[in-house]
Amino acid sequence: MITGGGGAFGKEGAAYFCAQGANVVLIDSSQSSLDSAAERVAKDLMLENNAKSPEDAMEIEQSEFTEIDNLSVCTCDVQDEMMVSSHRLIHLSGLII
Amino acid sequence: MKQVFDYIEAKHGRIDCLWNNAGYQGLLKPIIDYPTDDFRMVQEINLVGAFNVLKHCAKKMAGQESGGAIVQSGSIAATDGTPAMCAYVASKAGLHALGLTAAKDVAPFNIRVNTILPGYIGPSDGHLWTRQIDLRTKSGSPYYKTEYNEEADRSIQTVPLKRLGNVDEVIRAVAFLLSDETPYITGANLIITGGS
Repeated sequence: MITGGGGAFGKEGAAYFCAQGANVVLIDSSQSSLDSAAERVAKDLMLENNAKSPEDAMEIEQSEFTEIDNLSVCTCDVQDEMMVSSHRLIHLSGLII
Repeated sequence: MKQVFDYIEAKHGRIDCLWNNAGYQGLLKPIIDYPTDDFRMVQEINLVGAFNVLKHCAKKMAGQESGGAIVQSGSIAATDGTPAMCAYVASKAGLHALGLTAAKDVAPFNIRVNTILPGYIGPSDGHLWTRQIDLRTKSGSPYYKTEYNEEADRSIQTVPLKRLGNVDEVIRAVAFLLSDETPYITGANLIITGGS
């Protein structure tokens, strides 16, 4: 889990740890920053697997990646001890479910 | 935060690693001009927020036989007392101290807590660095040059390795501290500054 996941460190850290095969949960107070981070991770993994398009990436996801290779993002304020604003599961292809 | 960890537990069954990284720099102004509201907000995000995350994460990790590893994002600014950053410096100094005491509190559960202290870091797009230099030139502090290139040069000259660090170098240090390669390192503050 990485807090500040939409910032420079968080975004690059997510790409690094996802590439290592970790399940990564990114937390940030900004949904748009999290979306940008998810795009960054998807792009990295597409390049790594020589995918030329999101469709290729999805195919790679289905054929090569297991369920553990994914990224979850949660919009959440760390000052709030209890609540999460929202959470979404984002597959490596960038497909938002 | 509790909901986040409940979600992680439901989805993945466990949490092995936390990078407690969220932070807010606040304004760059000498202390006599620094607004109390912003000072308070920086403490709320950088210290109280980090405490919330660490507390709930450690609670989950404590229930796991294998424990876990936590890395916090501190800053060399907190040990240097960087000018015109009183709120940030105070919050990160608090975070360093929080890491020391937390490391002792959670060690019985096989949870490690370490803190990184980056210095001048410039990602590939240069954003972190350019923004920081820009803010310094406009801060009104006599310690900083008012011209961008002069301040950038002055800052780099304080680094023995004479270059910025990059984000990847920070991430590799975080990965190292989170990994199984460092089972006996806890309560450490790891300086990542190119020698300054």
